[in-house]
Order: sequence, then C-alpha cells, then structure tokens
Amino acid sequence: MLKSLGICLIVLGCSGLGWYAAERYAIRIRMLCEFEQALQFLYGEIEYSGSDMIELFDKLAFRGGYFGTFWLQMSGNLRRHDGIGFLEHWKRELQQTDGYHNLKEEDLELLFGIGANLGNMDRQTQLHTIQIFQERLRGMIDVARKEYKGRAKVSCVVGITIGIFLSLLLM
Amino acid sequence: MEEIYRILALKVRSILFKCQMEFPMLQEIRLRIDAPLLVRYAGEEYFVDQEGGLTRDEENAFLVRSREIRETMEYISNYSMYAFEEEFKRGYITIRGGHRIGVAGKMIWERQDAKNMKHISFLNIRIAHQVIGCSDEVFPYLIENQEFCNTLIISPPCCGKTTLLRDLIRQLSEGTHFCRGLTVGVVDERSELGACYQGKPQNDLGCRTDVLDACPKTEGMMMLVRSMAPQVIAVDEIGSAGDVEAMEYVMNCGVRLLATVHGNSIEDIINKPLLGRLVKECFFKRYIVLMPNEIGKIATVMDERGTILLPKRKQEKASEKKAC
Repeated sequence: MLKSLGICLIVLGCSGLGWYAAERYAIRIRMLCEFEQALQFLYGEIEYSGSDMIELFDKLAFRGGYFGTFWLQMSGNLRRHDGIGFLEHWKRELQQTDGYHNLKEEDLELLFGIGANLGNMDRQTQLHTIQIFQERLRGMIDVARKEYKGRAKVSCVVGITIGIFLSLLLM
Repeated sequence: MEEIYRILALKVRSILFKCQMEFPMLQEIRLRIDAPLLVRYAGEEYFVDQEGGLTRDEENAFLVRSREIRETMEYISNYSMYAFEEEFKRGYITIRGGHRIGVAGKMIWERQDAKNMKHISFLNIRIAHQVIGCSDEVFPYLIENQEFCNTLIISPPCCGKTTLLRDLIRQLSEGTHFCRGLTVGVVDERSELGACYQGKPQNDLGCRTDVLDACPKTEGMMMLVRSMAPQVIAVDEIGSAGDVEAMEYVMNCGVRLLATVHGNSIEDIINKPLLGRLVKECFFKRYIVLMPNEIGKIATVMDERGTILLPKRKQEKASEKKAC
C-alpha cells in the first residue's frame, strides 16, 4: 500500500515538474504578448495624445498583468527626478519584474533595447522606433509559439517518463 | 521654489539649494553648455560657485556641462522629448507654476518651417511671480462711469507687464468696489497668464475668467467672442497685423480689450504702422506705461487724449489731502 502511494507521489511529482517547465514557456509567451500590447498602447497614445511617459506608464500600471508593478515602479521612479537615468531605472525595474526568470537572454536584450529608445527622440522617430520593436517582438512571439507546442509536449512526457523510471528504480 | 528645483539636474539643484535664495527675488536661472551657472537675483546677475555662493567672480563659478543640460531637459520633458515638439518650435516650454523655460540649440527646418530642435545647449529658466495686488494703484484709472475702458499696457521686455496684466485680469474678474466682476476671456498664447498645467490654471485669474490656452491670439480672440460671450478680452504681447485686425473685430463687437505691447512710450506705439493707427483712432481709452529697467514701476497712466492721470500733479495731491 505504502509502496504504491510512494510510486504515485514520485510519478505525480515528476509530471508536475514537467508541467512546470512547459508552463514557463507559456508564461514567457504571455509576457512577450503583454509587452507587445503595451507597445501598441504607447504607440497609440503617443500618436493621438502625445502624453508623456510618466502619464502613460501610470495608465499601463492600471492594466496590471505581469508588468503592472514594473510600469508603476517606473512612473514612481521617474517622478522622483533622482539623478538616475531612464535606462538605468528601466533595467533595474525589469530585473525585479514577476516572471523575469521566464524570459530568455534574447528577450531581455530586446526589452532593454526598448528602454534605451524611449522618450529621447521626436514624435515621428519615436513612433517609428516603437513600430520596429513591435515587429521584432511579434517575430519572437511567433517563434516562441511554434516552439511551445513541441517543447510543452516533450517536457510533460519527459516528466512522466522520469517519474516512471524513478519508481521502477526504487521498486 | 519646489517646482523650479524639481526640474534642475541633481548637481545644479544641490548647488542652488545651498544658495538659500529668497524665491520672490529670484528672476532667472541660466544654464549654458560649458559656461558658468548664472542667476538673476534681486535685479542683479550673479555667478554661482560650487559651494552655492553668489559671486561676480567668473573663475570660481560652477561650470554647467552637457550632462546637466541633458538631465534638466529630461526632467522638464518628463523623459518625453516627443511630447514637446510644438514647444521646441516656439522655443520655450511652460512648466507647472507658470515658469517659462527658454530653450536654444540646433533648429531643424523643413522647407521654411521650424520642425524641431536638437542638441539643446542653452536654457533660460524665467521664474514667474504672481504679484497679487500689483495693479491696485492703476486699477481705478481704468474705470470710467463704472465701465472698464479699453487699455493698452506699454512696456519694454522684462519690466513686469505680464504680471500687471495678470493682476488686472484677476481684479476685473473678481470685481472691486470700482466696478462689478466682469466675464474675462484670456487668450494665453504662451501659457504665461494662466500658466495652465494639464488644463488647470496655476495662477489666480479670478472666478469669471475663461482661458484659451496655447492658442494663437488672432484666432483665439475671435473664438472667445463667438463662444464664451466675454465682456473683456485680455491678450499679452500684441503686434502682428492679424492681432490688430482681431482687436478691431473684438472692439467693434462691444467687447472691451486689455492688451500689452512692447515699447518704451506711447510715441513708440504711434510709430508702429498697424498699432499706431488704432492709437490715432482712439481705440484705446487708457494707456499704462511701465518704467524701463525698473520691474513693475508705473511711469504713467494716460487717457486717449494724452492727459496724464497718474502720477497726479502736486496740486491735485494737495487738494486730495485737504479733502481728507
């Protein structure tokens, strides 16, 4: 009885780990999508109302999500006028975002690149730059989605297989 | 003072903070790339040294670097240079509190229009002071039979004409014992009178005042007459042909006008081809002339015939005293 309970626990635990690995891929995609929507929002607002970054970050923070705290912290930091540059704030706050560890190196590079190109140019160039980053993000999301199906399946199968293998080994 | 300090680069801020300057006396802060930090304080120009002392010795002055200019610009624009394109074209930005920041750098032109400005290297922070009651002395002379007379304020730059205009608007709008409160429409092309920040006037312009912010004067005067039914329209720094045309339209609509113009005397205005005609045709019933080189000092108030109403003659003063 105890043995079968132990086997069940091992199999469930390993499957859970497999599922967790698959979920990380999904979270990454959701985060990238959320950021892409944020860029779309910034584009629209800059084009239509020409609002400043602080005001826009406040609006984005109101939407919540993975980056809700990031936008909120950014607007708070920028309001302080504390001698720290925009990009330094951007990088620091991004590293403290929930789910930061789900992002890949290439994702972070792109997000840092966005921070380096916000607010310091004229409207036309700003809009153009946002569009370029949006396209790059969309490309990344497409690739990530394609990879996700296969990887999620593999992670779950590998998790279950390792669970069964461990149970057989311990029997 | 807080609004001014907030927009300055951290280093400049800490130096100026050490100065312990009295806000009402501070008129201007100038930041120029690789040049000493300058302030205009109590009518005098001073360099500011590293320790925050005001000095006339240039060698000890704190040198402003490009980093400080860039940081200040980031704070002024809320890290959003794109949001201030129109302001850069005009060459100044108005911040919270109504303070005006003049900017200079490399202009970008497209065909014959200014498109934007880059490499901003010179900043002139002009501190706005609302002086409540500064028009008390002249206000009674602008009223005839309990009616406000069309008035032109003549003054050289930086002598307090906008401050005087602002207080006159407030008094007209609130009403005094010389005349009841009137509906005043203000065309605030440079956002200096109301100093609107996100639509809200930062200066007290009275409870019966409507402000058309950042609107060209010519169009603004017409718009106000059509939409807000003002009894008085106030504008700052008139001069163009369009302004004169709009003023004529306004006055012919039965709306009274309160305006300012650059000049040293009424003769200067008569010599201006467009505005001179209005003076000759007695469109304005009162002229207030401010003293050159003395901030806020009134040289004279006169009527359309050139009769001096202020300063009063000695005889009149004596008879007033007697009556008292």
